[in-house]
This record gives sequence, C-alpha cells and structure tokens, in this order.
Amino acid sequence: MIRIEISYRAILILALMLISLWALTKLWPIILLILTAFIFHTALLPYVEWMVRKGLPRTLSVLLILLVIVGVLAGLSALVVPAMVDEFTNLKSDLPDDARDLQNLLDDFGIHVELEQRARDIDWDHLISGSAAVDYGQRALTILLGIITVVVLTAYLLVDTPRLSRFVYQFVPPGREPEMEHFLTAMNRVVGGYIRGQVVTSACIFVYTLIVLLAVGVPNAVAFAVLAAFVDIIPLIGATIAVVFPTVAAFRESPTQAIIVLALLMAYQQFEDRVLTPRVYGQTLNLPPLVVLVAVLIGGRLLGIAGALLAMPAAAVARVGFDYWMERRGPAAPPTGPVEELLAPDEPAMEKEAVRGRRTRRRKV
Amino acid sequence: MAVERGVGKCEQNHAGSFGYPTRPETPYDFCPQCGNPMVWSCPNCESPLPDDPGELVSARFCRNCGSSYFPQEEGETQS
Ligand SMILES: [Zn+2]
Ligand SMILES: [Zn+2]
Repeated sequence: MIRIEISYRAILILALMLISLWALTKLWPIILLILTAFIFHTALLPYVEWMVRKGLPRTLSVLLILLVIVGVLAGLSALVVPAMVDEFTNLKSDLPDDARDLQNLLDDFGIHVELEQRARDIDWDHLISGSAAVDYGQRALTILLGIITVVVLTAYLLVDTPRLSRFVYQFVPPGREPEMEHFLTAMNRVVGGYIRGQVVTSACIFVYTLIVLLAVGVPNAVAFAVLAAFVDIIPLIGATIAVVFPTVAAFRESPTQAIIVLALLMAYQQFEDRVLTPRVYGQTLNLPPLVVLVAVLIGGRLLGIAGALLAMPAAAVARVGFDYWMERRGPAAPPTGPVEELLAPDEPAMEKEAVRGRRTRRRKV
Repeated sequence: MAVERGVGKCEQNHAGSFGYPTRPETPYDFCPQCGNPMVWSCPNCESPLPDDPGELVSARFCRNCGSSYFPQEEGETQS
C-alpha cells in the first residue's frame, strides 16, 4: 500500500519536473524578466525599508524610488541614444577601413593579423541581440515592453514584500526559520551588494571615460562613456569592449590619439581590477576568476548578452546555495532536508526527531 | 530590547518559533502537539536555544551554562 503511494508520488514529482523543465525553455524570456525584477527587488529593498522606517507609506516609498531611477535612466537615454545610434552606424561602416589602417600600423611594427577581413565578417545583428536579425522597430518595442514589465514587477514585489515573505515562510517547518533567515540574508547581501557595487563601478568608468575622451578630443565621447558603463557589467569581455571601441574611434582622428586613449583606458582597467572592485565588493562577491570565466562563457553561450549579464549574480547565488548546502552536510545536520518536507507537507515535520528524542530518553532510563 | 523572534521546543522535541512571518508574535506557553510546556530560553541563564535546526533538536543542555533545558525530566530520570 505505502509503496504504491510513494511510487505514485515519485512519478508525479518526475512528471512535474519534466513539465517545469519544458515550461522553463518555452517561457524563458518571461522568466528572464521575472528574474531581473527579483534582482532589482533585492537591490532596492534596503532603501524601501529605510524609507518605511522613516515613516513613509510603503507604496509611496516604492513609487518614489522607482520614479527617481526611471527618471535618471530615461534622461540618460534621451541624451545618449541618438548619439549612440549615430556612432554605431559610423562604426559599422568604418570598422573595416579602421581595421585596415590598424593592420597597416601593426604591419609596420612587424605584427601581421587579418583584422580587416575579421571586421567585415562581424555579424552585427547577432552581436547586438544574440539572435537573428529582427526588424529594428519591433525589437525596440520588445525591449520597451520588457523594461516596463520589469519596472512594474519590481514595484509589485517591493510593495508586497511582507506578503512574499509570509508565502516563503509558510513552507518552512517550525524551528527552521533562523536557517531560512540566514539564507535569505546571505542572498540579499550577495545579490544586492552586486547590483549596488555595479552601479558604483559603472558610474566611475563612465566619468573617467568621458573625461579622457573629451580631453583627447574623440567624437561621441558621451556615447562611448555610456557604452563603457554598460559593458562594465559584463565580466572579463566588458573591459576589452570598453577599451577597443573608443580606441578605434580615436584612431580615425590620429594614431597618436588612439595610443593615448588606449593607454589611459587600459590604465583604468588595471585600477578597476586592483583597487576599485576589491574595495567596492569586499567579500560579497569573492569568486575565483575561473568560476567567473566559466559562468560568463556558459551564460553567454546559452542566452547571449542577457546570459553574460546574469552570469555574475547567478554564480554568486549559486555560491551562497553551495555554502548553505555544505553547512547542512555537517555532522550536526539532521537527516531530513527541507526539500523532503516541502514535497510532503502532510507529514509532521519533526516526527522523526521526536521519535529519536524519545529513544534517547528511554536509553537513559 | 525585548527578544523579537526566536526558536524553542518542548521536552518531546517538537520545535516551534515566534516572531517570524506566519508564526505567533510572542512565545507561547504550551506545545500544540503534545501539551508539554515550551522552552524558549535556558531556565537558568536565559540564553536562547540554538539557531541551527539540527542543534535545536539534539540539544538537551544549555551550551552557555550547562544546565538542563528540562530540569523536571532530568530529576525523574536520575531518581
Ligand atoms: Zn510537544
Ligand atoms: Zn544556560
């Protein structure tokens, strides 16, 4: 009897897992939006809680914070997007020529590379969207809808955080709440710390790049500064993009300018890697470089730019989960895991422990 | 400052908690599963019960002062 019941449950769980896996692949764009909203929720929650503690109504606090952020971003885009579109169009048409010039220069130094052909071979649509070319208007609309969805979802999550935590805690058996709390706190610290740190480093690289490019006299300095701030989010590859594109643009002016820009921007990358990033992130994101590399490669391969952007927070979250799991495997950990109890909520959670406790007492007598 | 949240158990090792979402706001006196008194802190030194779920279930004595969480029970077994 019991065995049949268990196997039914196993089949049911297996079926549910397969269905969720299938749904995951089908609904990936939507899940991506929800994930992004959760990341922003985590990053913004401390500020909302702070305003609530100061006596503001929760909804008002959320609206104020999101209004400021959306306002700043919209202002920046209005300033920058037209210039960026211009610059990218120039870049696309000029890159093969620039590459030839650069190739000739490198030839003079005795370095032979096939840059021109490679520049011609770049699939720009694929590079920008991670998928085949779609009509630009439609793509812009999709991006806009995505941004609106993320903002609305984030607002909803921020307003409803108390109910959300009640929902999570109802699955936690009595006595395990501190563990859940530690886990959630660690998650918040890592994901929130990552986002807040990223804002700081992006702002720094924006200001520095802008100053360098304006001083040297590279056209479209603002666009390149914004590009640098954005690609700074992508680990490893971002640094190269942030340096190469402005250098190529400077090269169009003169090789001397290009060398100055290259040297100054590369110097900044060193500064960011050695001084800024360790200071800003501290221990919150202390991931081994190899883990970062693998995470970015996998993320980029699976999801294009979105994957590369999500790689770092995902790796950080995985690390928290791993630490948590390792801790649970210690000798003090009880044999029953939370997953088991989640799947079988009809069984009294502490029954096994209760039996164990009674046995110990009997032995004592 | 009063304790806002915490974990406890009865002498039958039924764990409980207060102050967390969906749980009672203050410590309650009796175990809803067996009716025995709940223990929320060491009866001798007032230090809280261990946070770790495994430790919470296995602990019979306070790690701070060494006294039993359930003095009556110890008295019964020793006599
Ligand atoms: Zn009980
Ligand atoms: Zn004690």
